[in-house]
Amino acid sequence: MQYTTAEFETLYKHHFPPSMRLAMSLLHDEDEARDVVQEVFLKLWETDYSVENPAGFILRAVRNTCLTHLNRLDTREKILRRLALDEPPDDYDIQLRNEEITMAVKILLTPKERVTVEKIYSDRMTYRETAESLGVSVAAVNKNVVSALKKLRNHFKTGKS
Amino acid sequence: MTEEQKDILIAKMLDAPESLSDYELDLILHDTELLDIYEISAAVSSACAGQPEIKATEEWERFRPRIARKPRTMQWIMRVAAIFLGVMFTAGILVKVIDYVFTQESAPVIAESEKNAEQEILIPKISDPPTENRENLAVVAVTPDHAVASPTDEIDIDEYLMIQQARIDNELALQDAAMYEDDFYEILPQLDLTGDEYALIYAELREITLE
Repeated sequence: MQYTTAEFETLYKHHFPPSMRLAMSLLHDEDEARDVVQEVFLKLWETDYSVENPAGFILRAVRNTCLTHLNRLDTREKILRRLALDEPPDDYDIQLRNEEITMAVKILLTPKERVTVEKIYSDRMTYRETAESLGVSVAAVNKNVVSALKKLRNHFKTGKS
Repeated sequence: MTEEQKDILIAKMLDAPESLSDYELDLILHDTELLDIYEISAAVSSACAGQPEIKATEEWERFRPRIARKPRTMQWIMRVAAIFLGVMFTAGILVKVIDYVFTQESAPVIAESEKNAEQEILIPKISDPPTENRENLAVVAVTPDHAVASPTDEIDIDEYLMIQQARIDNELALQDAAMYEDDFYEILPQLDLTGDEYALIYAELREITLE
């Protein structure tokens, strides 16, 4: 073991928040994300090997563990949890990606589309609840969501090319 | 698939994915546009989900019992096992050494006479009657028929005494034979014996010495 309890406490308090955010982005489940991050820290505590860059080690380990968990899920389960079906590339920066999407939602979408997307994705409301909240039909909610997603898809596809 | 059908499928996919049938799921996975919409939807969901408030101190208090329960148990077990094996190995060597030393010290002291128990018992043997001169006579050592006990075998005390007595008798007999032989050759020239007479006397002498 390379750390005293006091040293490890400092390390844990400093690196847990970004690790937890990363795990949440991948797994969309707070309890599962916490389990993954704690498992990684437990391995770091028990290892006898000297880890030169604990921050890098922790983030890589959290990412890989999350992807392992995701690979165990079937397609239906992933869709139920609104998880990505494809594994992101190694150099995929989730935080950066999230910032880009948030910016694109603000800039590219109309106000109706933006509000609809926020209610569906941020507030986790159903189509019916959103429709009642906005005073529109369920079909209108769906139309706004599809329109918004297509704009975002085109924006990021164009950006890639 | 018409646009209207696609819109319905997208609504199901985003709002009620648990209601998708296997067929509808298969349609989504095999349609590029629907797949793209799903992937961007998952990305937006991740970006807009928001992060829970993370309280580092509370998280540490929640995590700390896990490291307290596992104080490098495996290392501790390995260390104890290594010490135990080392003690057992050392003890085994000591037992062997002590056993060897005391076994050597307690070995019985064998007398010189017993060590020589395999010595040949000499029985005087008179060769054929000499036709020319004395040099043809010889006392030939003959090993006894019975087995001689080696110093390492357990020797019965009675048998040992018998062997010693036989050895003594043998030595005496050899001395007698030598004496008789000397006497014989001393008086031989005075007897003026024929060949037959000589052979007869020689046979009797032989008979006496071989008893």
